[in-house]
Amino acid sequence: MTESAGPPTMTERADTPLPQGLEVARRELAEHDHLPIVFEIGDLSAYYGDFRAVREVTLDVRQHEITALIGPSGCGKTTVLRCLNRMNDLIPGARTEGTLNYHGVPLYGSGIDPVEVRRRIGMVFQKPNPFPKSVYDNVAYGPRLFGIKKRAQLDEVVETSLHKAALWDEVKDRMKDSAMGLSGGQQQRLCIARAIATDPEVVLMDEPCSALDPIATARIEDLMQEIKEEFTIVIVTHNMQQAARVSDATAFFSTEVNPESDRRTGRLVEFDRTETIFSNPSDERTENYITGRFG
Amino acid sequence: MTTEPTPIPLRTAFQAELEQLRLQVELMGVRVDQNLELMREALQSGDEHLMDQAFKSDDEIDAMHVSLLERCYQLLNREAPVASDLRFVVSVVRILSEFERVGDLALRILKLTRQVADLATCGAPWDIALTMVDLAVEQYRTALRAWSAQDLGLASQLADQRPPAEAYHERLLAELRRLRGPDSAAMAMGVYIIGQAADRIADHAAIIGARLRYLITGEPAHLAAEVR
Amino acid sequence: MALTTIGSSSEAAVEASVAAALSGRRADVRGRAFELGLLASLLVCLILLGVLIASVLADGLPVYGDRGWEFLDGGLSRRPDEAGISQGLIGSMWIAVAVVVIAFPMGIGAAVYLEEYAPRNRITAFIELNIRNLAGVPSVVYGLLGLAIFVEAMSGFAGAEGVARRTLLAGGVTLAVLVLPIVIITTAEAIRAVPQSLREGAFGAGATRWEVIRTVVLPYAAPGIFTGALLSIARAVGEAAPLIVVGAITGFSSLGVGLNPGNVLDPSALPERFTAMPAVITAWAKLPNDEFNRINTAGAIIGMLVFVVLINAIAIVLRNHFEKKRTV
Repeated sequence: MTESAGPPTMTERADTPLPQGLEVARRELAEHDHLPIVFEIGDLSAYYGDFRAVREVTLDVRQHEITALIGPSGCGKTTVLRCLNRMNDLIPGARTEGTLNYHGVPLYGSGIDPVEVRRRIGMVFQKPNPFPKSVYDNVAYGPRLFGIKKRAQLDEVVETSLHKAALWDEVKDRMKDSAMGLSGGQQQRLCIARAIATDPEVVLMDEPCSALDPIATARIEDLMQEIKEEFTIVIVTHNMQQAARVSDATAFFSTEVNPESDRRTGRLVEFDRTETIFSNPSDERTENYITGRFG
Repeated sequence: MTTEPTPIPLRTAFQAELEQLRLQVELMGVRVDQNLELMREALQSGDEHLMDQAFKSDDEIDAMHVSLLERCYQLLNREAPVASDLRFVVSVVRILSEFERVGDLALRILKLTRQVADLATCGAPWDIALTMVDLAVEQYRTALRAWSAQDLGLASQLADQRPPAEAYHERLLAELRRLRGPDSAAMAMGVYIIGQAADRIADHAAIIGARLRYLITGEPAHLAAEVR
Repeated sequence: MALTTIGSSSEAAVEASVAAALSGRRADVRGRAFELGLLASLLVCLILLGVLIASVLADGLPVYGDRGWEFLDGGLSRRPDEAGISQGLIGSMWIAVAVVVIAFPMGIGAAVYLEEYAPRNRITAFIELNIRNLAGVPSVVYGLLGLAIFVEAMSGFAGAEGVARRTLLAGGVTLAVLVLPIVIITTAEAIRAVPQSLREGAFGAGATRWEVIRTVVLPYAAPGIFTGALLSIARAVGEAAPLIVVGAITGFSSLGVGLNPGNVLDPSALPERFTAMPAVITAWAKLPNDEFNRINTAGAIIGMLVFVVLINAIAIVLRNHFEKKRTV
């Protein structure tokens, strides 16, 4: 397990001895160092053909934590997210350079099967996209593909997943009804249930609440806190309050303009614990973004 | 060769409100300073009119305190500030109360205006007390300058240095113990109150410096230093 | 009191001016004229169709009135009062079967490959362009193709010689090839209309490309594919020119007469000479005899229309079934 060289942590900065209360807080913050690293990303760049969409991404995603990727439009955070489960393979001409290891294994190494990757690293998308099938069939989709055929087993997996997604009570009498009849918030929770039905280790979320009303958003944020004990979550969000509320670590991306081609490339500016990013970030660009002072 | 895209200033209304708040806090500090000046004059002249003037001004200072506090609440509610903006608003709340207390201490000294003529006769302690008052006011004015300029250097200086007024405290006590005479007890009490108030004014100025320093740097060590 | 009057009068003035501005004096003359023009074109189409159907019904219904089942059950004959359309109906049925069996799997498969598997480059764009062009080729050309290749092939296949090679099988295959481009194009359009978000959801859940196609893409595209199926069967059953070139019998034949289940479903009709409804209609329409060229032809047209409508109905039912599954 390698330590990433990031901006100086709080422990390195304070020289004077702190009073008792702050000592305790500092110890709790440092506990995250003991959590195993799930994704180790080093100097990652992502390309679409010749165009470099994002560069110099270095961060660690730790197990049982929520890591947030924030930044303005076009900064590459969704591109980075989609690299984590090789969804970018679907786009012709997409490729990566640099290190992207999943539990030490290079995710883009030769011989790695993207289907197996996506089984272990699920994804929830920005606009809820349930299949036009029944609620039951939506959740059972993944498990059925992986060979679970017996009705009793499927029933159990479906029910467990719906419970975890805090949707069971609302749909238990409507399992055979079409998923398209659910509300937006329910559909998104159904997509979360579908993603966790295959028992993945990681759940990636691409702006999961941006199409939802505030109550549905709050329910999903609560849900994230609950399931974080079982899964590792990486979330891309435009909503900074959400990132501050929900995540343990935050990565801030920004854009750069190439003066010749006038195209924007994204890059990682700062990656740190969420408390630090939102109370006292190291980089002025981060501060300008989170205070909304400059766009 | 890539460059950062030119940043567009956003939330300009909010930024303007923060600047306005800073100026208003400075204005309140200046009002308190005016009362401190009245206090010094009163200690020299014993003029009771100065006392009345100061009390009236203090009512206005209190009203200003309330309205600025309300504005801070509004900003927290509406704008949900983060990072340096949040530190700014919270520091304003805390510094306002420091200014308020300095104003109260000035009034406490001013209440003794009528006895100035008598107190002035006790000699050495009176001189020490006056010196302490001068040093405290000087300290306070440094704090006000630091706030006006949002100056980290001045703020650190205020926060870290032992206030000069402290050194005089011991000497004052020593001189007061040596007072003899029929009114010595009453005089000693009066002079001591003045000295004590001056000491506290200096202390509050140092706290203002510490709070301003945390506002600017945001370092946890400086937050700890605020709360001493 | 004076103040309120002033206030209310100015309010009333504001109201009046706003009302005048909103109700607008300018009549949208051009818009109305355009609307009426469109309505007129629709009416012309409807009138033409109406006249067509009415005249066919007027001429043809008496045939069913007079001879009824005998018209449907009878075969090709030189005598107008004995001629019937059973062979034509059976031939058209087998052609529809050929389209379903040959054109659908190949066409749908080709479309799936082009849309889901093939990379987007100049070669695939070129192929798609060519398929579109093929859909526009005159049907008689397909007839010639059928004559040259499929009829020829029957000598090896059924051991037939000469004219006997002009079999129902060859005809069916020819028409299947004719509608193949249509099937490919409509299926491809239906697949393209599947939202990418659904595909991503399926991939995200860990499906392979084929699983995504099988479980998400095809079910969603099914209504569109059935519409294409509908169009292609209607086209195949309705084309006369290729049938004539490939050698449909138009004069007299005693082969396979009778509209009974034993005859209708008899596959031994395939390697034999054949006829189909469009050929029958064309032939009868050219005969000098008024009973043939007007009355019997109309009767045959009615028979074919009913046949086509029945096939369409089946396809529509299937399409609606899949469309319902797609939405709430």
